[in-house]
Amino acid sequence: MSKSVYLRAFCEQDASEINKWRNNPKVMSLTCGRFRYVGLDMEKVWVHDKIMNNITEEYFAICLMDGSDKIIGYQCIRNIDPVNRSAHAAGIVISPEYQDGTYMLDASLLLLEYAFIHIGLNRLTGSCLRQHSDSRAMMEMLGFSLEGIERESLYKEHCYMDVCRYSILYRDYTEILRNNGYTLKAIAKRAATIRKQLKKNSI
Amino acid sequence: MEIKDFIYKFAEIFDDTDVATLAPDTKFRELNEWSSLSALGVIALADEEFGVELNGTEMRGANTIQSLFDLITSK
Repeated sequence: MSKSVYLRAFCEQDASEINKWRNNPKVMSLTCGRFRYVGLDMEKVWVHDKIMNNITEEYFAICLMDGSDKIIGYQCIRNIDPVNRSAHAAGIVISPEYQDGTYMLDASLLLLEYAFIHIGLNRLTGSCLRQHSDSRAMMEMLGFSLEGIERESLYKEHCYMDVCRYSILYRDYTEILRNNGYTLKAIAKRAATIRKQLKKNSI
Repeated sequence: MEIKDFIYKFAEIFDDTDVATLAPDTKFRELNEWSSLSALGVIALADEEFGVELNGTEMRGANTIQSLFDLITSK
């Protein structure tokens, strides 16, 4: 399936764009991260640190494939454990104007490919806010299984929030791949069903 | 399929959006219920009802339900 985006490592120039998203409470409200104002100087240091320290965590810029190479978001895998061949997929952030789901989906599929095919992981974990049903549906559409719910583990926006913990194994990924389950068509078909199930069950 | 039938199908993507509030010139991204999964609903609709494969980049060019309908039927 042709992708709308590609991933690349961070470069120093990404700091200004990333800084806009991190200072946008609406963008950050969708993540498990805490919102706080970050100055551009601190952002530059943060981006530089991510560029230079990529042993246990790797950050990726999500860029448009339309020839503009515009950065529209970022994501990462962290806690990369070479012994147990596992890692945690965290912090996907997409610019508000590109939040229609398809760009996030393409970026997530590229991350799965990177994790399981390129660096040979066996297990990838992920988490999202329990109340954010679209994120939960996205995780399940990608083949992640719910492992549990951490009750009130996050204090955000003046309330304690539950966090859903998910995982996907290499064998889950390859089975879906083998059954052509990662085509946009196949995922789109699963989307409505999963979202309705989540809404009905409200778990 | 005509635009009025398409609007009925389009409304099925949502849980709480009344079809009576939708018209060809409705800017679908401004709907309260439009979310990051709605675009996938449109992609599934295009495939199931029209046998057409849409992608995110193509959808980005459409702003109203009419332009979405035109995009799908032109493929």
